[in-house]
Amino acid sequence: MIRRAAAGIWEFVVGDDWRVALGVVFTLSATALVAGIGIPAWWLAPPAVLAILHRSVRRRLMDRTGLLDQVESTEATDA
Amino acid sequence: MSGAELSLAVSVFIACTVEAVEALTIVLAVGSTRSWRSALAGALTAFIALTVLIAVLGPALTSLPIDVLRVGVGGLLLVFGLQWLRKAILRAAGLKAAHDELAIFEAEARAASDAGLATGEVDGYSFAIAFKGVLLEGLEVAFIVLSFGANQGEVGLAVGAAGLAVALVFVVGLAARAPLARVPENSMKFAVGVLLTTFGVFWGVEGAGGTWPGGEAALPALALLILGASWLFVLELRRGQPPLLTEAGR
Repeated sequence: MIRRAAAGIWEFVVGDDWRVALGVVFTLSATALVAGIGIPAWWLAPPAVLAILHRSVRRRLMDRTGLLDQVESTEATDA
Repeated sequence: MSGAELSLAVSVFIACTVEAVEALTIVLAVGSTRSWRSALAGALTAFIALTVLIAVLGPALTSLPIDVLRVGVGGLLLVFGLQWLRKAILRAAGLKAAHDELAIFEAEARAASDAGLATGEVDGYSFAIAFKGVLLEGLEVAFIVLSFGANQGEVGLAVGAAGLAVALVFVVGLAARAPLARVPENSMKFAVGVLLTTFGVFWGVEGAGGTWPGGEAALPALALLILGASWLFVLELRRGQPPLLTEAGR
C-alpha cells in the first residue's frame, strides 16, 4: 500500500524521465550558487533547461527506436 | 487586471481546459455506456476531494517563505512543463500519436461494455472509473492552480480560471453528450508545456536568488525563447535527421 502510494507520488512528480528532475535540481542549485557569490545568475537556467529538454527528447526517441542500448554500449566501450 | 494576473489566468485556463477535456471523455464513456447517475456521482466525488485538497494546501503554501515557495514550485513546474513539452514536440514532429479524444472515448466505452452488467442502484464500475479519471486529471489541475496561485498570491484568481475552464468543458460536453474532439488539444498541450516551463524557469531562478532583467517583463521573452527553441527541435526531428541518429552513427 505504502509502496504503491510512493510509486504513485514518484510517477506524478518525477514522471517517466528522472534525469529531467535531476537536471532541474542541478540547474537551480547552480543558479543559487552563482547568485550566492554575487554574480548575476538569471542567464544560467534558460539554456540549461533547453539542453535538458533536448536531451530528454533524444532519449525518448532512442528508447522508441531501440538505439539507446547501442549508443550506451558504444560510449562504455569508448570510455 | 495586470499583465502578470492575465498571464496567470490564461495559463491556468488553458491547462485546465486540456485536463477537463480528458476527464470529460472518461465520464462520457462510462456514463453513456453504463450509468449516467453513477458516473456523475463519481466525477462529483472526485471534484469535491480536489476542492478540499486545494482549500487545505492553498493557505499552507501561501504561508511558506516566498523564496522557498518559488524555488520549490518553480522546480516542480519545470519538471512538469518539460515533460509536457517533450511529448508535445514528439507529437508535433509526428513521432508520437496525437491525442485523439474520439479514439479514447471508443476504447473506454468498449471497456465499460465488456465489464459486465451493472448491478444495484449504484454502478460501482462507472463510479470508480469516473472518480479515478477526474481525480487523476484533476490532480494536475490542482497542482497548477496551487503553484500559479500561491506564487503570485492569487489563489482565488487561479481557482476562478480553473473553475471557468472545467465548467465550460463539462457544460458543453454534457450538453453535446460527445467528447470534445474538435478542441485543438494537441496545440493546447504544446502551449501548456511552454507556459509551465516558462513560469518554472522564471520562479525557479527568482527563488534561487537570481534577479531577472526587467522583472516580470522578462516573462514574454522567456516564453518566446522556449517556444522558438521547441519549434526548432520539432523542425530538426521532422527533417528526419534527429541528433540521436547523428550521434549513433558517429
